[in-house]
Amino acid sequence: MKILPPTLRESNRYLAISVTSEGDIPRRDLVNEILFCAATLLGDAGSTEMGIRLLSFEENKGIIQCRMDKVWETRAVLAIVTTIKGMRTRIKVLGVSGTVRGATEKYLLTQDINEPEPEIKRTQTIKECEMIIDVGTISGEVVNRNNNEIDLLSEDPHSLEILNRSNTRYFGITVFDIKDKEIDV
Amino acid sequence: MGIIKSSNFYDLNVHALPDYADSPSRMILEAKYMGYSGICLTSINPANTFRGTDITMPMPRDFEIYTGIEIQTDNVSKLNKYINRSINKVDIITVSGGHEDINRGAVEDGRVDILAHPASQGKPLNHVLSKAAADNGVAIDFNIDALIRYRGGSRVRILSALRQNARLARKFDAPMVITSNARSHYDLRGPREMMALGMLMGMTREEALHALSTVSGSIINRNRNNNRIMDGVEVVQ
Repeated sequence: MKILPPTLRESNRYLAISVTSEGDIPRRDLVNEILFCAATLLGDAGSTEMGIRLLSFEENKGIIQCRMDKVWETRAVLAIVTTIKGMRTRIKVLGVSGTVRGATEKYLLTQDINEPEPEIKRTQTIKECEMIIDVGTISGEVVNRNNNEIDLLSEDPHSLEILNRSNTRYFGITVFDIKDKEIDV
Repeated sequence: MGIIKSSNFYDLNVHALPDYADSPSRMILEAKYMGYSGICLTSINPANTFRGTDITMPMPRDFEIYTGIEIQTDNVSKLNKYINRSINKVDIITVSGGHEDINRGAVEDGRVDILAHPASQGKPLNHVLSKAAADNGVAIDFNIDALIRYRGGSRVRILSALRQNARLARKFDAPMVITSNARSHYDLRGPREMMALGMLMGMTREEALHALSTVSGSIINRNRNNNRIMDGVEVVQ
């Protein structure tokens, strides 16, 4: 059987994405959530027109295929994704390209220029930390750590109230906020 | 695409500790990563006082931080009092809209910079308020958190109200801004994603671009400019 000639194929765009989440996201859940968001936002008819497919997804980075003239709608759908299986999630589009190879080489393999350089290695091993704010302190256990960024789990009632209000599980702080960071090495 | 790449983007309504769960420095890092040139850290609390947290981090390059307050009240006469109290303390004064009286009080006061989430109760602004916003230079906020936080019927109501706002704002030439109203760094979105959501709210692509870059930038310039005395009066020399 002959394959469809290139001139008759749909032309596509490929979006390189990076996913930030409170926990690990399996590929299947991510696909389901994106398609569900597309269906709630634009309906079944609208989402079939966009032709969204998740081509690859590894280590929180992936490539999404969509129709050439629906890139903006696809961006909107990706922006709508907020929770996957109860975990807060955020999808950032790193860039758009006309080929899978272009998207991979330009956006996935290279270091993002906006990404902050890792600086402080000294606080690498901290397990618990404390931050002073003007109405008290927030202390707790370090859950995730990514360069300078720290996710903090705190369980005293005042902290839980703030977390509830913001609809997250962890406080997002940085190493610059921690009290006595030299001592805590 | 060239014009998008060369623009500076600002997100003028971002909440941080002690009101919400992320520290200012975390928000700054995340916003920088998202591609913004500046954010406004807005205090929001029942007492309507500005509570800034010291930022003890080396500032990223080409990034500006502004301070702001989001005034929440249900009484127009108190609104005036709160504005008076914080006018010289913060860069940007935002009024938390939604109720019709508060929307009206905010757009009729030239000292207010942004009327935040005016459609949060599902009611659009009418032509009188849109015209007042244009006359007084109060920017009408298109908060993307309405789209990402709500689902189903309530989202439909808010979205249709926002569309109406966009239509009237275009008609009367009122300034429009797109803000994230972020309560944690998971609520932040990149500038192009914000534009895409703005286009769903009935803006054209150019309007969405200006709402994130030039309109926001002009609000900041207006307030950071020490020579300015009031609307239309400026110390030239």
